[in-house]
Amino acid sequence: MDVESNSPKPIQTTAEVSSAKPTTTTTGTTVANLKSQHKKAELKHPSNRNWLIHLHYVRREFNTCKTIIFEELLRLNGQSEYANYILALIYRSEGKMQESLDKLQVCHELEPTNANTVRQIARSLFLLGRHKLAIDAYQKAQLLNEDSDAETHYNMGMCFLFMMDLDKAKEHMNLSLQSRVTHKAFESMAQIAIARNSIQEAIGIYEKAARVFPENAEVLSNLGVLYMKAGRDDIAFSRLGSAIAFDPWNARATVAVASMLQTYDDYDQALAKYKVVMQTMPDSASVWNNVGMCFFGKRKYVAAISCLKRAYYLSPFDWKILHNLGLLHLHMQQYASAFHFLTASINLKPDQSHTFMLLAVAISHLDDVEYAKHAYEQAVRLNIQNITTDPVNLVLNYAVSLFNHKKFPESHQKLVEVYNMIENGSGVIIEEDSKEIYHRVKTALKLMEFAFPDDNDGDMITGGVPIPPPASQGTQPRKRVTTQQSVDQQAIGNLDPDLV
Amino acid sequence: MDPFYLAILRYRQRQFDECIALCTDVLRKNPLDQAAWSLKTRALTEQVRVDYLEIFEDGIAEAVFNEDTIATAARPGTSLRTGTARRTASRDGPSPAIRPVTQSGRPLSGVMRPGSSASARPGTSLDQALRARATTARPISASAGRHVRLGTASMVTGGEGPFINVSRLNMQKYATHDGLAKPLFEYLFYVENDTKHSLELATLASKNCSPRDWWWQVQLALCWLRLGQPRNAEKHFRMALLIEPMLITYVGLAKVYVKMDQPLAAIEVCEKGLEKFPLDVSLLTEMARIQEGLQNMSISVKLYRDILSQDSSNIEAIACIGMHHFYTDQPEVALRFYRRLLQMGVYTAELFVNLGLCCFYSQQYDMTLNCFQRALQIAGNDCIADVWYNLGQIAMGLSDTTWASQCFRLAISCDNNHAEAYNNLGVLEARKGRNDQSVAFFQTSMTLAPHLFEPLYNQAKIADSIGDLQNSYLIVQRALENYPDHADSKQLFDKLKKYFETM
Repeated sequence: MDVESNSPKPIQTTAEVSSAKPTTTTTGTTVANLKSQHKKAELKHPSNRNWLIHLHYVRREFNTCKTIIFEELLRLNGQSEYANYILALIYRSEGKMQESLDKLQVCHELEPTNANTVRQIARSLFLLGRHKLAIDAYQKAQLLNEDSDAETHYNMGMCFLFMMDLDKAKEHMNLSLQSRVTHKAFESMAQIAIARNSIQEAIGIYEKAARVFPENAEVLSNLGVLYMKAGRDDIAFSRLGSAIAFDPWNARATVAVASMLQTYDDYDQALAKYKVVMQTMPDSASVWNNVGMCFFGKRKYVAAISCLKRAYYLSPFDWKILHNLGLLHLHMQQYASAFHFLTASINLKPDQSHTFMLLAVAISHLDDVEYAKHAYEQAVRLNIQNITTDPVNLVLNYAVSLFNHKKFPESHQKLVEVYNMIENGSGVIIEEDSKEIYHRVKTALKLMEFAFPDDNDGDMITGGVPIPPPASQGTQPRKRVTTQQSVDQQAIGNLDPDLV
Repeated sequence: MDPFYLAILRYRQRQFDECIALCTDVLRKNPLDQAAWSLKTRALTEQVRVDYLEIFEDGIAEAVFNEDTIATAARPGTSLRTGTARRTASRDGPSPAIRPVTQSGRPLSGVMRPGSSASARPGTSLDQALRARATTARPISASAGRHVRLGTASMVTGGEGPFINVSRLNMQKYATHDGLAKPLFEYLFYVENDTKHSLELATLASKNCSPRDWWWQVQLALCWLRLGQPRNAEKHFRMALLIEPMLITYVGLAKVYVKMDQPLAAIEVCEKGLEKFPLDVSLLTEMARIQEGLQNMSISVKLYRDILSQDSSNIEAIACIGMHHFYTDQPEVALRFYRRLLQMGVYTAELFVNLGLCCFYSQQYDMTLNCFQRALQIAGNDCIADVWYNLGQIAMGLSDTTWASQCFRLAISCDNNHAEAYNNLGVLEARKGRNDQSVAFFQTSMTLAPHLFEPLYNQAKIADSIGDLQNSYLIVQRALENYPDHADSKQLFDKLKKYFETM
């Protein structure tokens, strides 16, 4: 090591590791002077190997770095602030939090006025999950360092967020954004907004973020997903498209786009997208579920079932997958299996009227009218509280089931209800096939001399030939595509049928 | 009738007790009757004889303190011991998220056989190796322990003191006489389990016989194998092959290479053997097992199918193919294989559990619970925990969480070390929002089975959600060690890394 007149002393001023460069400060000694004191300087000067430590640290050569640090600490009786500080950082990235914290405490004792050390202590506390202590430490750091610091505020905000104190968290995030604009702070703000169930606010925040960081794929994909949730598919599509343009491997954006394509019945495109996603997340239940529903849309039922089964295997507690499996088995006319999956789904989530309606259809095919009626009633009841099913379809299905079981008066009553809904409800849109079924049942009932309020069509009665009752069980409800982007299922220990 | 003729007849009829009694009579009259002596020796041997190569297995001590392995960090695909799931690119067959793995990170096999579940990775502590769940049925001591046990058992049936006093044998004399030496060797090897003396005899005999005999070379190799010297065993097997290629030699050599952790060499030997003995079942079985261990599932299943075309009632082949189909989303096909096993007269709790699971996943609901009931009736202590555990899976399939958690609790009460049940209990608790309890369950599961990635990931996820980032960071790293391709773990790790690397 050749000693020149400069003794490099790294000063940590910025927040990022990569930007921390050793700045050289000249000491007053001249070269000649120093040469005479060469030996002494090497022994005594507490920071003359700091540059080496720094060099190895920024190269992530942690082992070499540690060896040098230990030598230094031995030489200086542990009195080197910088060595201790870097050691603490290395320990932290190795996950040894307690050791790291101890070293930082040493640093703090060596130089109690250094705000940066206090901040690092606070960060360690934050990573250890002791949020209250961390906030105290950050406040102390602020006292030591007058100028407002974006990082400190951001971190305090995060602590408050983990403590579920949303107001304070938001306040600190705002302060952080005022001093420096980072996408992390924007993201946390949006998280706070979502935690408060105001999607519009979150969208606003992300829009701002997207204006500042127009090429950040994370921000764009989050924004797109939020637009999807808000029902603005057009904007969502463009945002997600640009997210994929900047980061073609972004799984979240790709899944979101694919599920949108799926809702617009473009199954081949969607499947191609899912195939890409499958490379990065082969064990994601939601992706398998969506792939299954794509095949369902393409009327490839066997493939659909095996995809959904895999999704179900990976995530047995997801009611949506069970619901979809039930729906598929209804289509395959395997009513007992459908019943099983639907009851399982109801066990997990008992407040979905749609599942109850499917269950009622299954039960009615299993020839138990009474229970089918119970299920329909339950579906209607739940649908009043929280409308998730098209009420026309629901009541129409009810009517068809009753008709198929030869309960004509009750069926007539339900059909009249449907009629009233169509006439009165201005916003009700009926699909073509539901309409057709409605007319078929109505005609059949008319032949049995049931009166309808709108008997002015007069076109249906052709001779005395009774029209056969509809063979299929009325409208199969629209398939439900679960667009689940956040993959949050928990892995379950798999079955092991072992040995024979 | 000549009593000696009768003894030979009884020997052929495999009525060894009567044969021995007759021989004893003959020997009482004429203690120097070599024919009777040799016959009695053979009868005694036949009573306890087992296929040594088939049961040959590393004891736990040997597995842990193994020094025969050439490379400690072998390249992927060349070792049976460098555990953990391989990367997606080179893996063939279902991922660990679908098909469970054994302690050494290999996919769970269709049959329980020596070495299928135990072979510990180098570096696992003895403590972990002892705790392996699949080994509960076996004595924990090293392999020598079992041989000793078998030996003493045979002594009891013999009564009236030992038949041959080993320490007073004049090996030199017997070694010259081939007709006496061979039965005597087998007696020493299988009945007395006296490897040292049998090795001595075999060495002398192999020197004495003038045209060199492959049989003695093979026996020498077996002795060395039992003494834990695979290198010497390999030498003798090779020599035996030079003298005359025999089936047992090929199988033995393959076993030696597996013991030395050189699966590719073992496969090569098997292929050479197949040139001499085309379509031989034992060689094919050996290859299929090794390929399964190397996670080449499709090759393994193809080999098992070859076996079935030769021997259509091979239990191991049927069970392994059935297992493969079960884990590749074809429970209906798996059901056919397991039904075939049932028709063949296999009547065990494990089979009924497998049938029940296949029925459930192929939606034959009426049969599922019947199968499990039968399994519970006939299950022994060693597998009852697994039966309850799998019943818990069915309960989860029906979304009946109370029933599921009862089943898992029963599984744990039957087997305290049932890590998967602990994990699933943890998940059920986490669903109810009781994080502390679920973390406790995950931790138990983790200590019991360090090779599972599920409890680790689950625990990391919970720690992350309550803000204990430090623990989460450490644990998710361990999860990734066990299953480097787990997408969710990777995501979590990347997220946490940001926290730890920035300042």
